[in-house]
Amino acid sequence: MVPFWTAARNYSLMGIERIGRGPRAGLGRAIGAGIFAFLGLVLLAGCNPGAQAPDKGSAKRFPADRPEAGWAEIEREARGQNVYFNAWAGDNRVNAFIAWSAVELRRRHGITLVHVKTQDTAEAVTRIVAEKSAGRDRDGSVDLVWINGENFAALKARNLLLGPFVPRLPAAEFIDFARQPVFSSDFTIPVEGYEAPWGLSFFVFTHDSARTPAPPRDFSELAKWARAHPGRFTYPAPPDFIGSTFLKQALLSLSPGKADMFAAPVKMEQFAEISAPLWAYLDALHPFLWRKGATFPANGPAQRQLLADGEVDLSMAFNPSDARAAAASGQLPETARSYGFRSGSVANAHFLAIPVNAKAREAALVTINFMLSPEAQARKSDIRLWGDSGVLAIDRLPAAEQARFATLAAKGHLASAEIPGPVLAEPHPSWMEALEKAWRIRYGAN
Amino acid sequence: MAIAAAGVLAPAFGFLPTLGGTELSLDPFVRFFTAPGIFRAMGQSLYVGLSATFLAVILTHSTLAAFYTSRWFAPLAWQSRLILVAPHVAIALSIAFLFTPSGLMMRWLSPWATGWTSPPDYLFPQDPWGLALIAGLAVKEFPFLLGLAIAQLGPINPRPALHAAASMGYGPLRAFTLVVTPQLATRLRFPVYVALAYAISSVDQALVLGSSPAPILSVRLLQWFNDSDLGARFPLAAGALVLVALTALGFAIWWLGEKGFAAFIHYGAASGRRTGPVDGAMRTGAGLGVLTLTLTTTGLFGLGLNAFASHWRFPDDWPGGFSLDIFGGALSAIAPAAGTSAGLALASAVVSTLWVLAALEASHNHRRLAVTLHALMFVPLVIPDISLMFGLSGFWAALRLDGHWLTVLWAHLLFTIPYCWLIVAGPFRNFNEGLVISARLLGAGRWGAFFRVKIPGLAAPILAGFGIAALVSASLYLPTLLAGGGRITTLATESIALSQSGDRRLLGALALAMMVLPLIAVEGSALAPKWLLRNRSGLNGATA
Repeated sequence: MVPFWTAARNYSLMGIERIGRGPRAGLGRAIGAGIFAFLGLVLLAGCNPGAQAPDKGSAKRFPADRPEAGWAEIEREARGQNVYFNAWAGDNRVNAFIAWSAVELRRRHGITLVHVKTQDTAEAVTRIVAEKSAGRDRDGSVDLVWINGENFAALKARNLLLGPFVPRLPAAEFIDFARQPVFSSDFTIPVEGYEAPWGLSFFVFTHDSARTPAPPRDFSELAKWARAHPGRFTYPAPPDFIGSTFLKQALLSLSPGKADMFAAPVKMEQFAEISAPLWAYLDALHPFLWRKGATFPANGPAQRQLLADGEVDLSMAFNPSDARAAAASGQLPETARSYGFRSGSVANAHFLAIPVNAKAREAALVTINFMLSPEAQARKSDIRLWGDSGVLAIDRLPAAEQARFATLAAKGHLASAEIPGPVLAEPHPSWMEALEKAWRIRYGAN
Repeated sequence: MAIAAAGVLAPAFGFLPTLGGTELSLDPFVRFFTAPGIFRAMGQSLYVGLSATFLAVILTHSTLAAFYTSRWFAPLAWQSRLILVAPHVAIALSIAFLFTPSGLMMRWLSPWATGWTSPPDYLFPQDPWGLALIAGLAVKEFPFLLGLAIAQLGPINPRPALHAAASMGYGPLRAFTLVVTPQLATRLRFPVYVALAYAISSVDQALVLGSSPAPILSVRLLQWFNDSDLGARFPLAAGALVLVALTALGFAIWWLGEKGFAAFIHYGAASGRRTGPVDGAMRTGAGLGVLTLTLTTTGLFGLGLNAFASHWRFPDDWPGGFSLDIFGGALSAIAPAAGTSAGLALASAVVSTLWVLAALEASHNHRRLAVTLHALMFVPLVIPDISLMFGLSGFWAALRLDGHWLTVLWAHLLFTIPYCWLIVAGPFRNFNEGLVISARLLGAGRWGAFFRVKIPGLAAPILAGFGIAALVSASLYLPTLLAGGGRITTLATESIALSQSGDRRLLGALALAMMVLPLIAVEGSALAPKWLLRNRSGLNGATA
C-alpha cells in the first residue's frame, strides 16, 4: 500500500520542507505567511456571500420594493430565498410551531425559514440598528422579526421597518381589525401597516385549582394572599416581557383614572408621583415573595416550571389558554386553570415585521402571508400544539376554512379568543421603559 | 489577535465612528465605572473565579493522592471523564436540579425525612454569595485538571519514589503529597491558569447558576452587548479591558498564593514528620472530590431522567409516568444544530491538529520561533473569551463576515488550536529524537521519518489533542453566538437559548443530546490509538 503521505511529501508540504532547511528568519516568515494566507482564505470565502448583495441602484427591480408588483410576482421572487426569522425562543411550543412552518414553507413556496432563536426581541432590534448604522442597507441579517410594543416603537421611530406592507398580503383580508383595536394600535403606537398582527394576548394568572382553590383576583387580594402564603408568589424579572407586563398591570390598577396620561409618552416629572403607589405596593410585597424577592425567575415559562415543581402557587402568561396548553403537554396537572384579574388585565397583540434592510423581503412577505393563513392560524390556536389566540375573523372565512376552527372547538382544543375579564389598554411604550429602569434601580443590580 | 485588540481598544477610548464616537476619550471608562453595582460585579467575578479554581486544584491533588494507588481509581476516572464531556450548561442545570428546593435531593428526602410536602424556600442556586456558581465552575474544572494530571503522571512515574518514601515510613497519602504533588503542580501550572482565566470570565454557567439581580462582570458585559441602546457598546469595550485586567489581577493573586503554599509544603517536608495536619486536609479533600463526582453524576442522571418523564412532581422520588414525546420532539428540534456542531467540531479538530503538528515540526530546532509560537498559543486561553470575541465581532460585522460558517470555524480555531497545542506540544518536544535519527540513517527522508516514525509514536497525544479540539469546539457558546451572528446554531447556542424555557423535561433531553457528541470524541480518541497501533505492540499505550 502506498501511504497517502508519500504523495503529500511531493506535493503540498514540499515548500515547507525546502524552507525548513533555509535560514531561521525565512522559516518564521513562511509560517507567518502561511497563517495569513489561511486567514485571508477564510476572509475571502466569508466575504463572498456579502459580495453578491446588489447595489442600491438595482434595488428597484425587486418586487417587494415596487408597490405595483403583484402577489404572484412576489411569490416567484421569494422562491429560493432564506428568511432569517428572529423570534423569541423561550417556549418550545412556539419553537415547534415555527419548525412546522419552515417545513411547509419549503414544500409550498421553496422558502428556507431559519429560526434565529433570541432570548429577548431587543437583541434583534440591536442587530438591525447596528447593521443599519454600519451601512448595511440591503443585506441585513434579519429578514423577519416577531415583535410588538417598545421594540416596534423603537424600529418605527427610526424608520427601520419595511412598509406599509400589510395591505399587500392576500391573507390580510380576513384579519379582524374591526373587533380588535389592538391590531391597529400597538402600545398606543399606530401600526399603519408596518407590522402584521399574528396573535392576540391577554395577561392571565395560572394556578393549580387542586392546591390553590381560591387564588387572589385583584391586587389588594394578592397583597393579602402573599402575606398569608409567604414564598408562594413571584414574578419574572423585568425586562422580561411577562415581568414588565405584571408591573404595567399593577401600575394601571393601582393608579386608576389616568388613562389619557398613560396613552401619551411618559413625562419624567410625573412618573415619580404616578408610580409611587406601585413602588409602595411592591416594597410591601417583596418580603413575602419566593426567595424573599432576592431573585426572580428569568421569564414566564421558567415561572411555569416553578409552578409545576410546587415552588410557587401562581404563574403568569400572556395567553388565556396557558393552563390548558400546559396541561395538554403534561407540564402542569389537569387541574391547572388560567384566569384574569377582576381589576382588569392587560391585552395586546403580537406582530410580524420586516426590517427595512432585510435581504429576503419577498420571502418574508410570503412567510407572513402563510402565518396568517387559516391553516396556520388554526394550527397555532390548537392548544395541543401552541394554543395562542388567532387574529382572523372566523365568521368571514370561507365555509371550508371555518370548519377547521369548528372542528377544533368541538373537541375543546381551540384556544379561546374570548377575553376573561375587563381589559386594560397598554400604556405608551415609554412607560414600560421607565418602569423597567426604575425597577432595576430599586430591586436590580445594586 | 491584533484585530481583536483594535476592536476592543478603539471603542474603549471612545472611537467608534458608526455610532458617532470620533474622538478619543476616557468617557467609556467613566461610564463603565459609574454603572450601578459594577464594583460588586468585578469583585464577585474575581472571588468566584479564584474560589472555584482553588477548590478544583485542591480536589484534584487530594483525590489523586488518596486514590491513585487504589482500585477505586478507575471508576473515579470514568466519572470524571463523563463530567468532562458534559457541556458547562448541562453541568450547571444538573447542579441546579440537584440542589434547588424542589430538586432531586429534596424530592428524595421529602416528605419522610423533612416532613415537607411543598418545597422549602431557600435561595440556591443563584445565591448572592455565588456559591452555586463556584460549585458549578469547580465541578467542571476538577475533571479537566484531573484528566491532565493523570496524563502527566505517566512521565513522572511516581511509583518508585512512592515506594522509596514508604520504606522511609511515610504513609501513602503523605508520601504522595510530599513527593508527587509538587512535581505534578509544576506540570499543571499552566492548565491551572487557563482554568482560572476561564472561571473569572465564564458566561454560560453564570447565566444558570449566578445571581440574576447582581450578575458577575462577564454577564454584565453580555447585557451591554444586547442593549438596544448602542451607546452601551462604549462601556462594554471599557469593561472588556477591565475584565482582562481583572484576570491579570487574579493571576497575580494566584501566583502569590502558590508561593505561600509551596513554602508551607516545603516546611512540612523539611520537618521530617511522618504525619501532619496536611494529611487530614488531603483526606477531607479526597472525600469531597469523590462526593463531588458522585453528586454531579447523580445530578446528570436525574436531569437526563426528566427527558423521559411525562410528569414528575414534588415530592415524588421518581417520575409519575414515562413518555418519549418530549425526548423525540427535542431530538428532531435539535437535529440540524447537532449536524452543525458535529461539522464544526470535526473541521476544528482536523485543522487544529494539522496546524499544531505543522507548526511544531516547523519550529522544531528553531528556538526563538518555538517560544514565540508557544506564547502566542496561550493568549486566547488566558484572555477572557468575552473580551476577545467582542473585539473580533465588531470587525466581523464591519466586513459582513458574521453569520458565515467559515467565520464560526475561525472563531472556534482560536480556541481549539491552543487546547490542541496544550495536549500535543509537551509529548512532541519530549519525543525520543533518537528514533527519528535512526529512521533517517535507515534512508527515510525528513518527512518520511516524520510520518512513519514520529506520528505513529505520538499517536496517543495527537488523538487526544484531536479529541480535545472537538470537545472544545462543541462547547463554545459565546464565540459561536458572536461569530455566527445568531444564524449559525450549534447545540451549545441552542441549549442556552432553550434553557430559558424552563421546561426541565426539555432541558434534560438537551443535556443528554449534548453529551453524545463529545462522549464519542473523547472515548473515540482514547480508544483509537489502541486500534490504530494494534500492529505496533511496542507503542501500544506506551505514550501517555
